[in-house]
Amino acid sequence: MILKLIKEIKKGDLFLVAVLIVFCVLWFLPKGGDGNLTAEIFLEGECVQTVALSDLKEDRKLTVGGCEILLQKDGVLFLHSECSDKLCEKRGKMTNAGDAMACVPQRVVVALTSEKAADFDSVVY
Amino acid sequence: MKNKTKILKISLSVFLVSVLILTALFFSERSKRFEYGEKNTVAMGTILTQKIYSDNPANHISHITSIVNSLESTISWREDASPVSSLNKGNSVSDTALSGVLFSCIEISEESGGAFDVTIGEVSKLWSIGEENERVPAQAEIEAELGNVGYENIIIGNGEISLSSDCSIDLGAVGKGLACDYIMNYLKATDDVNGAVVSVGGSNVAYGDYNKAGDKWRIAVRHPRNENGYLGVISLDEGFVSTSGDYEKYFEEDGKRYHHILDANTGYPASSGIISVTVVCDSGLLSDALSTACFILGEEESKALLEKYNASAIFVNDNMEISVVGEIDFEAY
Amino acid sequence: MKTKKVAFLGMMGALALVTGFLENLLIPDIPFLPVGAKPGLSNVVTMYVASVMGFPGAVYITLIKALFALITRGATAAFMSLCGGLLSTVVTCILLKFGKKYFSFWGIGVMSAVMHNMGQLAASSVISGTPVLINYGKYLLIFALITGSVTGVMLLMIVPRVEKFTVYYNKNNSRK
Repeated sequence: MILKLIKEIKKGDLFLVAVLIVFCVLWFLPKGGDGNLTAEIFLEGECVQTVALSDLKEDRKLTVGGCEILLQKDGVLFLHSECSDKLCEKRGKMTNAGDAMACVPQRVVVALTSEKAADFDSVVY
Repeated sequence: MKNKTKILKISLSVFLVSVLILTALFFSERSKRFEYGEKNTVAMGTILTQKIYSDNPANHISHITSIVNSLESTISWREDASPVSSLNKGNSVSDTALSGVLFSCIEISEESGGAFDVTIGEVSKLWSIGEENERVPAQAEIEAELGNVGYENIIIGNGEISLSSDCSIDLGAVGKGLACDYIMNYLKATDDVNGAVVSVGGSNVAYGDYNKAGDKWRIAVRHPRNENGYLGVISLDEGFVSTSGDYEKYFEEDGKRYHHILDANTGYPASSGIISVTVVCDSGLLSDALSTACFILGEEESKALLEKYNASAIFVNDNMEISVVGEIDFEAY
Repeated sequence: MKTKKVAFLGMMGALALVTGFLENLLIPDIPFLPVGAKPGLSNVVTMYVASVMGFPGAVYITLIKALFALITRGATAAFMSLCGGLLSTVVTCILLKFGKKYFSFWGIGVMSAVMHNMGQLAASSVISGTPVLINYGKYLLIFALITGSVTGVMLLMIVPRVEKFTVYYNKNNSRK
């Protein structure tokens, strides 16, 4: 019976199904991670540096307001800071678009953004 | 032959029409969002993140920043000139805003059986968690200060506030939520802000809409053990969300974690088996205070408290089990 | 002659409603489905009627389904059913009329399911005012591919078997 059914299939059917499958594959392709992660560094409320992380060919170190910041392709972290509480160093690496971390005593804030909007508007912590 | 062309024409047109519809829908999605501006600054000893959906966001952003800064000069015990500092030095203080805040704190202290208590200042200083000199104080030291702790020592009368013992007030557990209330009042009073979501050191206030469809705000809850992960997302129309967790400020010694949320009854970091609790409610001060109280009390003991204030909460215990008390539109990851 | 038409349509209409109802009973069992996705078994009836009676008959079945949705599930469901159904029926009839050479019931079934979903997607966007649902359209597409194939293949098997009835019906009702 299956043979009989297969005989019924026509050119258009195959074409249509092929096109749809292609559509689905394309539509479902993961967009290469969050794509285009950008780090914005603020000192005293003003943005002093913007770094496109995804364009980095190798890790980069920046010193802003007494904080040594390490920028990598997939995230940022505070390597060292002159502050007293070292909470910023303890935070570790931040990798998500829409998130932010800071060295409060030095008034340095690092925020990550990306072209594709994050899945949320804010974070509660 | 005629049929062949006809089929092709028709299928092509159907295809084109569908593509057109899809494209139109896609582009109209873009245009539905309001104009907005965002800024990250350090204020009130923490990160102030603002997203203001308005045609003139810069104006509001700077207003909100000053609101938070000036609130800090009123309620921070670290600022020498603040009314709280004066109060802590033993003076009588006359400040309506501060009285109001303390009244609420006293009420929550009563309802939480004293677990939450803003008079814990001196004990907190012994620990100094999150600062350079963080340490585990000796039991005797804690007990000495604990004797002075107690919300009944806050005397408010005739417009004057005073303390009847050697305790000191630390509004750290409610300050951020309070700032959120001030921000909400400001936002409600302006008329050219379509919507806004502001995070004061993690305490969030969500107001209005960010797009014309009136979609809900989505606020991700930080994962208590994975600093780049999230527990899930809370969706809400307008309101306040705050979290208390043992991962925000802590240090470890001899394999034990000492976090910054002290139980005012014991003088030690609370250990109710909860590692994170997120409270959603219609008051900033409450969401902040309740998250602290619930963290200290644990899930079972918090239920009555939450119900009294019409608040809801998401509890995470030390087995990473998540439990929602009350109604929250929460999508776990 | 008209009586036969009415009787036939009446039967088909009932059949469509019943299959629709039955498949709703099946739905809860499958947890990973996006909201609103259905196997679309009642589409088999619509397509069959389309192949026998052409556009008018198929439209009737579509309308009956929408009306049933209105009565049992409310205006929103009815609007969605109508949009999806009409788009699907129109496309199905076009393919049946001109595409017999290139498409078998399989392709027509798939096209029918896809169009039905697109119509519903558009309808829900109109209702909620947000086109955010595009994201969701991806899943519907895959789903439609599968369900369309199922209904299409079902028809491939059914139609030859009801051939006798179809022929009898055609003999007594000159269909173009």
